[in-house]
Amino acid sequence: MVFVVYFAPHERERNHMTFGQLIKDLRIRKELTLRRCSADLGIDPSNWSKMERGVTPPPKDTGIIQQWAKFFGLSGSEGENFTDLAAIARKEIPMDMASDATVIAALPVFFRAVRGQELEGEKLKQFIEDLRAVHSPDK
Amino acid sequence: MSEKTDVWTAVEKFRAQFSTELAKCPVDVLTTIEIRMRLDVIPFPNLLRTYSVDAAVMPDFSGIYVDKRSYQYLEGVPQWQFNRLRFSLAHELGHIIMHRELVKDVQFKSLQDFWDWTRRYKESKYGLEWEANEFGGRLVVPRERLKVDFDAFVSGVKSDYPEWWMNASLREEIASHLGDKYGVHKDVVSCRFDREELWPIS
Repeated sequence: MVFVVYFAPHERERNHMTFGQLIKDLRIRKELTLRRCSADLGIDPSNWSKMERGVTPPPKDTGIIQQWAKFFGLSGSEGENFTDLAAIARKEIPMDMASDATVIAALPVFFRAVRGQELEGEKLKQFIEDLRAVHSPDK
Repeated sequence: MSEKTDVWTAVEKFRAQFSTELAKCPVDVLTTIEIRMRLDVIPFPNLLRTYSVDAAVMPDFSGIYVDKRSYQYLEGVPQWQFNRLRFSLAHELGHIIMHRELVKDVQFKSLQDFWDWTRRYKESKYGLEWEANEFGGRLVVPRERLKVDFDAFVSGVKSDYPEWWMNASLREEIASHLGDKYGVHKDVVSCRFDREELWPIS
């Protein structure tokens, strides 16, 4: 039996975070679940999740980025770092979910099939396409 | 497969680790997962409608896929759907806590690999699913609290119904009432009556 201990990043580690890691850390610091945070910011939770995971870049609109910085209580150098990381993230190439290897790595291992419905054949193919969408930038 | 007491030990150690959220009633599974454990909750459109599943854990245990609608509109979906999601997340926590070792070296090189794994997993599936269900059930319906509620129920009915344990309607009624309290389906509570050996065998 295994027990897992989860640690919050140390303050200095935040300086080496990606934008996605940073917004996740800031959200957790505010004790907000993903759904609560995205509801407060008026964003679709799937989009916010994709930004946290580095799948979708942050918006180009600097006004929105500054609004988020304010929401998280960032000012001065912290606010600048937030804006800079957002700019860097916009230039990064999103994870390539076109390859099967990446999709396969994201397949859930314990998939509870109910009502006798198993994940196989056409259903598995459909699931993989849906999974690809969950891990791909919005079109 | 573990004995149920092994699963219970795992649940109570876990509860002690995240005591603030897990002492609430209903148990706050989402805050535990997202804030305390820092796991990703990944909204998955139509997971429930298309695959009849409302949560599934990622292979590296870094996150849990959740049915987007159930998750996004927690306050808007019917109570049963919210309750179902709560139990499903507790079930997935069971996999994370108890079965992590089992899959730590699993890397699928191809879809065939994944398919072979699911076939092999299926052989022990019922054992693993049983453990995850037992974990989830005990997590969301804590034994100590249930015992207090159950004793109060017995005190309230035993004079009018001397053989209360034979009465299926009474069982249904109290399971439903406590299901509302614990934020789970009445069948989960009913199952706990038996698993925790509270309801006498008639």
